[in-house]
Amino acid sequence: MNNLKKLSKKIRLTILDTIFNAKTGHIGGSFSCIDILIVLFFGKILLFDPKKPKLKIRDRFILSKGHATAALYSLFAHLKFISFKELKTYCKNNSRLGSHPSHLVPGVEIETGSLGHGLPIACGIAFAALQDKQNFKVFVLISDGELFEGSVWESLIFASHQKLKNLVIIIDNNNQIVMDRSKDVGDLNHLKKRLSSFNFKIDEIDGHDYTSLNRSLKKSKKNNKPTIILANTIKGKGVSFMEKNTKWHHSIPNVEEYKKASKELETI
Amino acid sequence: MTAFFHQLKNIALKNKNVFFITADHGAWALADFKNSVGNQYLNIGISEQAMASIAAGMALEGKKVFIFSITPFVTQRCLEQIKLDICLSNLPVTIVGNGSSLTYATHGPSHQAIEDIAMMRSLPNIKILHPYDNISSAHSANLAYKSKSPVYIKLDKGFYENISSKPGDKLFKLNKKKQSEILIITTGVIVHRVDKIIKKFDKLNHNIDLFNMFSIKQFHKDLPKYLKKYKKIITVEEQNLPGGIGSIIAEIIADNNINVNLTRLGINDKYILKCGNRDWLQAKYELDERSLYARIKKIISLKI
Repeated sequence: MNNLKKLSKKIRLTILDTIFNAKTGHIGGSFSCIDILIVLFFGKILLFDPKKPKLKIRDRFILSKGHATAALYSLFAHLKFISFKELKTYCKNNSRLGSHPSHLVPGVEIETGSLGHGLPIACGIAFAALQDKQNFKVFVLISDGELFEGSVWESLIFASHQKLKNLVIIIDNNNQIVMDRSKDVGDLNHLKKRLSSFNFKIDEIDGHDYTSLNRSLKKSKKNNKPTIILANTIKGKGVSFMEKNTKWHHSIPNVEEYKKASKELETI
Repeated sequence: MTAFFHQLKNIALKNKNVFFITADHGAWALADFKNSVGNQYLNIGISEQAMASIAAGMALEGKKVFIFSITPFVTQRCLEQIKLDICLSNLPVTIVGNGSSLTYATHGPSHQAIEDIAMMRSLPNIKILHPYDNISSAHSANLAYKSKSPVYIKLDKGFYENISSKPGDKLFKLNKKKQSEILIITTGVIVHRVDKIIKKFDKLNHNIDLFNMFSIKQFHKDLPKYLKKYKKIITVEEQNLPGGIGSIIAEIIADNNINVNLTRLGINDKYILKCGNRDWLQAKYELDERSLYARIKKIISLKI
């Protein structure tokens, strides 16, 4: 786990550089979910091969909170799905690396970006896999802000009814939406209780704690029911002035802020 | 259009990767499908948005999925899912809308489908098929099954006589003695009415050609050349005019610099909130046989 923590420092710096270089991207939500992504991809949870991204027997991963591509693509560069040279083209003209995922990028199954799409797509993949008696798992990362979308609840009914035991829903529960805190707009405080009614396996964890993430994700691979991992996170995690500050949903650091953020991330 | 479901059942019996998902909308012909290939049939409940995305996910894994509901619900309610999850990745999902145009007249504008052609044709990659009898309905099922791209089938309800033994775009009723100067272009089951009206004009020695638009986005490459032969073109559709087939023909005329007089007959950009059956509502929109005959007569009598 210590190795992953060290890696998280490097990847957070890559995210910061990528967004600072591109002058666009969503930094707060990238920092809130990056620890989850690191454990998924580097913690031997997901079965995948960067050299064969379309391998039939691979676990599927859908980034439903598609605005966090700065995190996903930075991670992909460290995983060698793409090169660091290509990462520098993030949001530049003629790049396949936009601020929302494109299936042109190896490792991306399908476009996301408009919220509330990733979970039902993951349900479709999981349903098809069960029909075909395939053993792979389908992981989907959604945000708590996404829970305001009706299609998420439509999908929860489907996943529950169809007993999609191969589906793992991870909620990046950072309690922030674009302009406000989630709970100031619609109270999701009793989320675990609400989700419990769907008869899933539910695990509530600290989404920045590598031991908890590792334990919960490993367990999810063996579950015989659909799984929800409610990962409590902090938007902007790792940079003190960005943490829990709505300004940093998609603000771009100026030179001074960039230097300050880099210094903080280097000393984690 | 029972032939569609019958044909789809035959397809599904041969291929277990074919799935039919309904958002809790039935059709009596569907019962046979369910009884014959029940494990490839799914009622997902009233959740059209999730249905479209779930179909996309299944298509990613190689399934051939048909999604079904009353037309506005399976097209407009989930338009963004069709755009982003199906069309963007060019996934071979078929959207089957039941009840074309004013079919659900008594149910009100919530259930009527007069804007769907405009909306769906704005999406890249999708094909649009508008069957008008049993043969063309069955043919739609075959075309959709073979398609490697998204397909939208705008299905009507009820029974209509087969208008042609050869389904497809090319329903040109060409006058053998003399080339007609007038062409009517139409789409969907209203072709039966238009055909009847043309026969009336035939008796008066007014020769009118007919082109029935079965495929609404993909056209034969010779269509512009064909349109050039006429002096007057009239489009007739049970659809709202903005973005409908009249708009499509206007675009083809403009893009190909064709010198022809075009008149578009359809729903003139308004909703009628009062209730009535399909015939009553069509009359209100001046699309009943009598009104159409009078309007066409007036157009063809005008000197250009």
